[in-house]
Amino acid sequence: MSIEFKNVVKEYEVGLRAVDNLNISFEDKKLTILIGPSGCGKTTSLKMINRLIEKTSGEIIVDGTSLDEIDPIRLRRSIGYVIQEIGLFPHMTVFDNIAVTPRLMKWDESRIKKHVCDLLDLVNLEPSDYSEKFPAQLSGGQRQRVGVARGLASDPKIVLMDEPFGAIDPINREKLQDGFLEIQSKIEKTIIFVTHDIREAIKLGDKIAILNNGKLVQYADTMTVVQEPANEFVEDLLGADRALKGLELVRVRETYIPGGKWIEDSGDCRVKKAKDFLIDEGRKFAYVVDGSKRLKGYVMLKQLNKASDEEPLKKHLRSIETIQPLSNLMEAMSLIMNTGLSSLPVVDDKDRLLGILRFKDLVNLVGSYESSDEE
Amino acid sequence: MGFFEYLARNYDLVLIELLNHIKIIAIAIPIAIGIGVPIGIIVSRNKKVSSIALYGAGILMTIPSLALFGYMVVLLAPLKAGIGVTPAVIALVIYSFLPVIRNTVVAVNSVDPRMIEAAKGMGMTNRQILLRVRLPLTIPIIMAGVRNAAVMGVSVATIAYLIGARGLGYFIFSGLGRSNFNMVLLGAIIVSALGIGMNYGLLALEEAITPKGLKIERDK
Amino acid sequence: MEVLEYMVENSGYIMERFLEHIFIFLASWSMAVVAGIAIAIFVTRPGHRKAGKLVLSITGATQAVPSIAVIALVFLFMGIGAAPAVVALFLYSLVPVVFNTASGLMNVSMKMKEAAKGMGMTNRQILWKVEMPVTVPTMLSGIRSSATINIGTAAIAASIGAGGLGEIIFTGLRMTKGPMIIAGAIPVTFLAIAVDIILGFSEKALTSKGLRT
Repeated sequence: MSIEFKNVVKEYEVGLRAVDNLNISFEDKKLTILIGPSGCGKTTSLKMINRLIEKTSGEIIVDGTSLDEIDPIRLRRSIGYVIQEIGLFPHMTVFDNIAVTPRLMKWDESRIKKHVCDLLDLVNLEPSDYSEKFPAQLSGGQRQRVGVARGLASDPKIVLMDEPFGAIDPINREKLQDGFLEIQSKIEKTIIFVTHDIREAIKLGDKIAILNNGKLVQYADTMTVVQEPANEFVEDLLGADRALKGLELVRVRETYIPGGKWIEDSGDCRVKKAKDFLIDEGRKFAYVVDGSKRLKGYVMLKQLNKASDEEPLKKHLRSIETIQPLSNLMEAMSLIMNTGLSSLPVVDDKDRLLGILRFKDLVNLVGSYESSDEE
Repeated sequence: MGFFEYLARNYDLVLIELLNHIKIIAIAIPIAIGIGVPIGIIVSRNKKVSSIALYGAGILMTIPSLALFGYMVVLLAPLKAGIGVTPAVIALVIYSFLPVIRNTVVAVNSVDPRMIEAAKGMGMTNRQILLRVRLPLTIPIIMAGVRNAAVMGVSVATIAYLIGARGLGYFIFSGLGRSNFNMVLLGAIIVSALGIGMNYGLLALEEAITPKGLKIERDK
Repeated sequence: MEVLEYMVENSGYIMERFLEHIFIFLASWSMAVVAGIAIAIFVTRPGHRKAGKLVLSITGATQAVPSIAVIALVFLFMGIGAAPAVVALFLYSLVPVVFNTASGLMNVSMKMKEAAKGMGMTNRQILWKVEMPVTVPTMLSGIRSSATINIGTAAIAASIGAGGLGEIIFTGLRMTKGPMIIAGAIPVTFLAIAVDIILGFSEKALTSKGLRT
């Protein structure tokens, strides 16, 4: 469902605008980040969507209907709402916490039970282990996952998230974000997500809306924001290492070179054959795959030159780190740095070699962000 | 005779009974601290022991004051101490156990062992640790228990008039016996004022001795 | 031995006072619990924030007022008998119930209430499904201490002719009859401790497991 803000204003005191004439259209099934310094109006904007805060003027339209025409109680039941873990109810079990909205909507218990179990599965908490636990018995990360499940409980088309991972330590926050990305790829909701952490924004957002002093500064695809910041304010927000941050956005899938020539070794290959191959191709090293194209390792010409021609090639195979198409370039970059090689083999989940990712291409990519910086 | 006329005429008596009243509290509270704080410190080392001690103190606290005085009149009679200030003081000490022991346990447990380790690591002697770290952190909490006990003391000392301990209870009980409304009103007003005043006075003292850093944390 | 003798000889009289005591206690205490919770809820509703703070500071201060002062003041208006005693006990028992319930309700975190609101609960649902269950432990401990205070104060209320077990103790004191004093003190002690234990158990039973620490 799309959400449209038309000239929305929120004044807490006369003349003091927390949100100043905001026009923005949140797209259906996209995760949109609202980000900016504290007091920029991001949380106020979020809370106007489920009418926890009433706007002063303007209009908010959800799927063609003005919010003013919907009863706030009914509206809130139909919109998911996730806040920091302290919002869980301590006197209710995990199950009852998640079942709150379905019960408010008078679903029958058997449907609720199945739904809650599905949601626990979705957030990676084993239902039989966690249903009857109380929030006080969970870790911060687990509580937050319950919070996410609770926000999805009424099967909402829209989910509002107010710095949901803000209180979690960095390592667990990273894990929660990964888990959440996976969930979002399955559920495809329209999500509005407030954060003040630019890394989180780049990692999670399909689109990013940057606010300052209640005004919209830039609203674009995450990639565009990183590559073409609208002004100095956005550049500062992105920080000095934004070129590297951009790498987190791009998947290996979009950058690697598929196919190529490799040495095939079904187990009986000799050193001679590999040496000839390398010399013919004019290369210093090559990957070796087995009969079903599974990557076995690589061989280097320098070493083969020292070996006798009839030795089995197996003896000179060296193992190598691999990367999969869905990983992001940041991960690829650190692997390349570790191995010291100029490229990385890209394999599928059965270890079949798909192609290579070249360091050169990564460097060019970073360079392209940096040059746009200077424009 | 009007209320204020009665008050003016009996001004001296009010002062005397007020002092008698405060005397009971002033004797009992140091005794309660002397017994309750060491007990609290000892039992705080073991969670089970401390919960048993607090349960026992809780039951003592539940005994209605009139009944407790009744027991003492009878049980202390052979010692010729069944009436007067002694049973009143004993009763108040007994009632003080719960607040004093409970707050001592809480206070002792509120000092993080890592903090003591840090103090040791910086080269403080045991004596310095006690004076500069433990006491400033624990005394305000124990004081809150003492305040509860002292406020309770105002009430207990009033009832103690019935067993000959004198005090402000005189105006109420004697007034009730003689149906002297002015006396009853005077007594009720003074003990109420004393209770409320005692509470606020000790609260102010507590504030004064609470380290500033702890207040910042609390007021958040 | 003398005590036992006295008790057996006067069992009818003691029983009557015992029942009287229970009646005075239950009448005043149950009204105080109902009224106290209602008052606490009323003053903590949104928009009554100031009233809530005022009630908290008033009840906080009056907890320091000795019970006999309240009995004495009610006597001045209503004279002697069971009725003024019930009124005095009602007023005195009200204080801990209101204080504990109101402070419990005011301490429910804003974040939690906002989460409830954001999930689509009405104000009434927020009160009964979130605020009250979270407040239950604090509220029950207020109700419990109001019960034991009530039983002890009811004994003192015999001084304005309320009857009850206090009457036996007062008479015993006046006549310096040891066995009689004890015969009044034992049942009232028993009653107070028994009620305290029973309420202690129900406190545990009624508190959500998630709130126990």
